[in-house]
Amino acid sequence: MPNGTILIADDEIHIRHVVGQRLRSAGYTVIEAGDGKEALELALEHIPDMVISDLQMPTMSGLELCTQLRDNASTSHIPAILLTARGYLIEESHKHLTNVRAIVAKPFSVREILERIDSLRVAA
Amino acid sequence: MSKDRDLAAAGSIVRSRCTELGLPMWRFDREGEEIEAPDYPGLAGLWLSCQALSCELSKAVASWKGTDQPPPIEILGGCVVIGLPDMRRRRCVGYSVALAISPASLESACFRALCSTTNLDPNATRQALLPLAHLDAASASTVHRLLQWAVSDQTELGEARGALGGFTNQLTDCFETIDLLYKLGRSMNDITRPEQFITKACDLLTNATRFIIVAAQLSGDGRRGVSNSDQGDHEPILISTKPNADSLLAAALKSLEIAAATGTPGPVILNEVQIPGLGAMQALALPIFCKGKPAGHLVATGKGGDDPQVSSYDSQLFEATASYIGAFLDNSSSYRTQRALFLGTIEALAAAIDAKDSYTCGHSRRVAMLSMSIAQAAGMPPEQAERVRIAGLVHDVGKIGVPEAVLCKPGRLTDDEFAQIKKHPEIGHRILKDLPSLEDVLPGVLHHHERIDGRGYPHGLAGDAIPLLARIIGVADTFDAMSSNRAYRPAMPREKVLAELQRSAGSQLDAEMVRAFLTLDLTEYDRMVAESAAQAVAAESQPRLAA
Repeated sequence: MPNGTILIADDEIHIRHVVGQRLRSAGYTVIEAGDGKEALELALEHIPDMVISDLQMPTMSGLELCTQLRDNASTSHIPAILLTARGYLIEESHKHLTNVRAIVAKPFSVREILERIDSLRVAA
Repeated sequence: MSKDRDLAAAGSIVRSRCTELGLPMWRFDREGEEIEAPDYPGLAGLWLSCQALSCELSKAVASWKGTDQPPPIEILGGCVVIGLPDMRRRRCVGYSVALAISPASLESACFRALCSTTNLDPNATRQALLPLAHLDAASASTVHRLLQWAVSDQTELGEARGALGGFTNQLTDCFETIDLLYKLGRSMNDITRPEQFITKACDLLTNATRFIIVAAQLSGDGRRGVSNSDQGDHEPILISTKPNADSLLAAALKSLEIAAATGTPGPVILNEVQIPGLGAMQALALPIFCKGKPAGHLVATGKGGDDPQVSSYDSQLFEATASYIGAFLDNSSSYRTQRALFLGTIEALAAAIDAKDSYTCGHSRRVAMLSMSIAQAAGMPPEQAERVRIAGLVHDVGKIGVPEAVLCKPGRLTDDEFAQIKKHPEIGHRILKDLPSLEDVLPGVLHHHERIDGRGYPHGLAGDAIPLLARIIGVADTFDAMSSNRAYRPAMPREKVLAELQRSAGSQLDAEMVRAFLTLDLTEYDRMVAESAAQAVAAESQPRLAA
């Protein structure tokens, strides 16, 4: 399967496992980061095709990560999916500064995340 | 299976690390049969893969007899055979074997003997093997222990990886379940549409599992819960997102019927059910209970993917959904009962008011019907049209507070009497204002005698200041009043009534609602009038009882 590379950023290891396992078995190459800063470094190094990031993480929030990715020329094209706690609202004005294409509330259906990734990749 | 894969990976990691350390590696089964030999170039390769050496190693392996802690064995005057067990499900199935060649052993008589049986030049072979000969017997024993620790660590790691994979799968399923339950909960908001909820539930299940056919078969209370009509409710109905679910599930439902008749209600897995186009499949059926009684089944079949067997994850999701459906049917059936009681009470109230005056017999029901028809003709949504109908039913409730002598007076009313009549909207409003379910129809009761030109009562509101509900009832009320016999005048002919309505549009009545009224088919209205007349005649002809 000629699938791309996806970066998962989440400080909760079980979330990385749950998403990572399904993505790998769907044929994606998966890079994992445990916080926002590590995610930014890995993204700049590997230029993944998509970023799935938790919103609340130590050292750098998912929103800040996505803003920085958007601001950096080499990563500004990368679409992102943001994972949040249920009921967490993200202001549109913040979202506009990022490439966040979807916001998914935890706990989520991994099947739906895969569907979203597929549809985002088709759209890209 | 994935656990074995993780363990096999653990073994191959240790082997490749040994090779990196310069230890030639073999693989043997537990009986001593060689599976894999090291691959080295040149003379070293020839010596390492020779028959005689293989024999020596095989003897050493066989002496371990499948133990998972094989002791090191010295061969060929100073070489040490290090055995590392290959574990599968806590059982040793074979060994990875490393050979620690000591520099001294290359000088031994055994070495020269082996070279000569293999027709290799001892000196050249020794030179070729020297880079691999860096462990004396004492260090070999230390390396042996280190390697055994490494193997047991790798084995544990492999097992832990396998367990983690299993946990991750289960966690993924849990997330899927929570997500489904959350969505189901959110779909329960419209208690009046059980069919819509059940269809949604089937749709969510189809997405969350690998079943391609999911349906709810409802009978008894479950059947009554989704259908208004009491006719033909002995036949169960099937709700599904698949349009041809009936024919696809025919065999499954038949087997289910037999299973349900013989056993206690509980989850049923039917094996070998013929599904058109799919062949023999497993089918899963979960009972749905409504008010504690069996009310049908949630049925699924046609599972795709790697595993066509119904899993515990499947049963868990379906069982939860079946309970949600049962709870929904319970609630919606209670709602219907309450609603029927409420509407029955309102209709009885309306009939009681109408009965005060034989001239207005059936008036409230007719106004209710006409008002609803106007609302529909004006394009209002069904819930609003229903609200208009209820407002029509109760619009004259206040007449209870007006003396019959005034209401039924044949001649002209005095100013004082007319003032009493004009109080009925406010009296009605007062009577109903504390009933929460009637809150939203109150404006229709209070303002149905207002006029567009502001000359009506009780508040003299004009134009759009008059609630729409009241403007609609105003048109229906006026039409019915003119079309009926009254104590003070006979009924007017239809053409004259319609002409009068058009004349009043814009002054007394809302012009737009009059236009909507003029599009109505009045057949049902005429039938209701005839029915009321027949009832009035029957009531008159009954012999009066002596007081």
